This record gives sequence, structure tokens and C-alpha cells, in this order.
Amino acid sequence: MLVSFFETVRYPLPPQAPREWPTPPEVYDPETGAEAYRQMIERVRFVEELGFDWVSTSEHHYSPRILTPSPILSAVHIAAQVPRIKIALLGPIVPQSNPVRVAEELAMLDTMAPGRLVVGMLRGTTNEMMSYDLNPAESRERTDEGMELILKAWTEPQPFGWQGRHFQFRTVSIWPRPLQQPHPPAYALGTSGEAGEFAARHRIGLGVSYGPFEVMAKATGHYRAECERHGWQPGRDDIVYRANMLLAETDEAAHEQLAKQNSAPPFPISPVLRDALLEADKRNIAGEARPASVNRVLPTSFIGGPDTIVDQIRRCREVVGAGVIDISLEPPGSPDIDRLMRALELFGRRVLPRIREI
Amino acid sequence: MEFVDLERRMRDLATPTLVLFGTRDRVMPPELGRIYKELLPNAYLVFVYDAGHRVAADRPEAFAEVVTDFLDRREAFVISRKNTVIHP
Repeated sequence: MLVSFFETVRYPLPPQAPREWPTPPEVYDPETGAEAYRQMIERVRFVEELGFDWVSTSEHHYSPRILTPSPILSAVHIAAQVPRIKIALLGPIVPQSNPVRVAEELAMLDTMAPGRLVVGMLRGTTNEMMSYDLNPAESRERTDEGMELILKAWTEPQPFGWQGRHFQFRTVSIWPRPLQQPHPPAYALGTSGEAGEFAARHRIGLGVSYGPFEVMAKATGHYRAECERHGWQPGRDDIVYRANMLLAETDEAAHEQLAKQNSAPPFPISPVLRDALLEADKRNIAGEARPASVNRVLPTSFIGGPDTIVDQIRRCREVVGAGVIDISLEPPGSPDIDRLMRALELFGRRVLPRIREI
Repeated sequence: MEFVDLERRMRDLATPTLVLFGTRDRVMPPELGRIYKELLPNAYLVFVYDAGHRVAADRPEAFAEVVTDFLDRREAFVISRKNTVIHP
């Protein structure tokens, strides 16, 4: 099992600050932000020393919960400051990006940080569609088309035009091309039938997140079936599972900590917007309709002391089929950095050496 | 032999040429487009997203727009004329 640490940049928001999304920029303190990014680098150096395989970043906007509106910038900064760990962009939100620009920037990064880049292409969480005025009803189609254009821009040796539904370019001819050929390890991120089919058709990996093992197994099972239909079998590293983990010295301590966690969404949007988004944003798991996730507290999939966590990771491998877990050891947005660092150290010492053969 | 002859003659064809491939073409894989691009000295390769082999039937509006634009402006069709003004 490969292990990735989901680095969200921990910005400690004062308790009295407003919690509704979007958080007013006037609440932001520049010095605190600079310190948060400095600590990000310290933390990534630490997880590299512990033996983590990847550090991951992802795109979120307009709140301190995950302070990486440009995950590519985070990745570049990490690549320049930390020497070896692989950097997984999980990922840029494709439907609200210029896919050619994404392809260019990631090819640059792949070249400047040789062999260290992993790319996940993301549709984005529902509230993010309000960040750049993305119509939720178009997000699925724009994601599929954008992902295909990124892959084409990386691999097509001749200049070409793109006559799409949502994107149109008369000339695409990127320099540099990726160092890793034909392109960096890539994943479609999502549990939908469309994401699984896309990943299978393009022979790339699939990343799923946060749901219970049995539910995520529906998505990965669909992906594997689609891969078979397209004439190939995915390898163990082709499935990534992102999840919250709550690790303590004992099972009792972990469950005690879970009971103390805030059960309210960290940065909720208003009920009116939530309902409108739920109406507009249609989602599914392996083709079965499911409601979008809006204002939901993300579940914790791995809970316990080291022995229990090792058993749960083994079960994740068996049920979900994941060969990579991408974990938060404190929920994104939690300001308790000391507890996060203790959990990381405990994971590196008591869990990591025991899960390599899983 | 016919293809060899065709390829030889393509190299001499200076006429601006639009080469369209559907990204879901299963009859002629879209990767073949680059061969035309290499053979034809003045070719413009355009992928029509989500179209199969019958590009005009699968994506008629997309087909008509790019073909009309190319016929109107030839090489200059690569220069965008999209109007992005929202509220003049």
C-alpha cells in the first residue's frame, strides 16, 4: 500500500470569525497566512522523513478550510522546498479551468520536478461551482471534455485544433511536453459511472473519496469492469482512496477524540443555496443516483489505535481495491496542529512499516 | 500502392487543407490525424470532440462551424473572432 498525506494548509481561524462560506477576506490575516504556508513546508518535510510516498493538494476556494485555491502553486512550492516526495495534485478543478493551461503548467512541473508529479483531474465539490460561476448542470460534461483535452495536449505530437462542446481552440501545441511519457501518472477523480468509464477508456487510474468501503467498492468495481471492457486490467496503484483517519495510541482514545469532534460543517453555505445546489448538481455512484454533498461533514473512514488502523487499511485494500490511500489525520480545517503532528508521527512509526505488503 | 502514391502526392499539395477527426472515431483512429499533418505541407488538424467517424452526422453544428470558418478565412481561421463581451 502506498500512502499519501493530504496537505490542506492549516490556517487557524479565530473562534469568533464568521463561519459561513464564503468567508469574508477581511477576516484573513496576512502574517497568519504566511505562517500557515511555512508550516505546510515543515509538515511535508516531516512526512517525507516518515516515509510517506506522496503529498497531495487539491483546489478549494473562498474559505480557510483548505487554503489552496491554486494547488499547482502549492505543488511548485513544495517541489522547490522538499527534495524527494511525490506530489499528487488531486486535483485541479477541470470544469472551471482552461484545460490547455492546466496541461502546460503540469508539463512544466513534471519537467522541473522530474518523476515526482501525479495528477488527478477533478470535477470539484458542489459549492466550488459558485467560486468561478460554473453552471452545475454543465460541470459533468465540462469535466469529461476538459480531461480529454488535457490528455490530448500532453500526447499529441502535432499542433491541433479542438472543436469541443464547451472548449474551442484553433491551435494547441504545448511546450514543454511532460517528462514522464506519455504523461504523468493520471487519475480521474470521482465515483460516478462517467468517471469510471472515462478512466477505463483512457487507461488511467481512478480516485474515490470519503465514502464507506462498500459504497466506494461499487465505483471501483464499475471502473474495473469498464477496464475489462476496454481490454486492460488496472494495477494496484491505479485506485486511490482519499479518506479521513483518526489515529490515536489506543482505540479508546481515538473514539473519545471522535466524540469531541465538531459535528457541524466547518464552513456551511446558506440553506437556500444548499437546496438550490442539490437541485442543480446531479451525482451518481457507478450510475446509481445519489445526492450531491453540500454542507455535509465528511465521515472518518479509519478510526482507532495502530493495530485497528492496520486492519482497516487491509480491509480497504480488499474491499475497495485501493493501492494508494490519501489521508487526512485531522479533518481539513481543524486548527489542532500539535495533534496532527502527533498522529503523523504515530502513523509513521506504528502503521506505515506494517502496511507496505498490503 | 495506391496509398503510397496518394501519400507522395499529398506532399506536393500546397493548398490549405482542413483535416478533421472525431475523438471517438473507431474506423480511423484519431491518432492517424498526425500523419496527414506530417504529409500535407499546409494542413490544419482539428479534433471534433465526441464525434465518431461520421463527424458531420455526430456533431453537425461543430462540423459546420469549423468547416465554414475554414472555407471563409483559410489559414486565418486560427485567429479567433469569438466575441466575449457580456454587457457592452
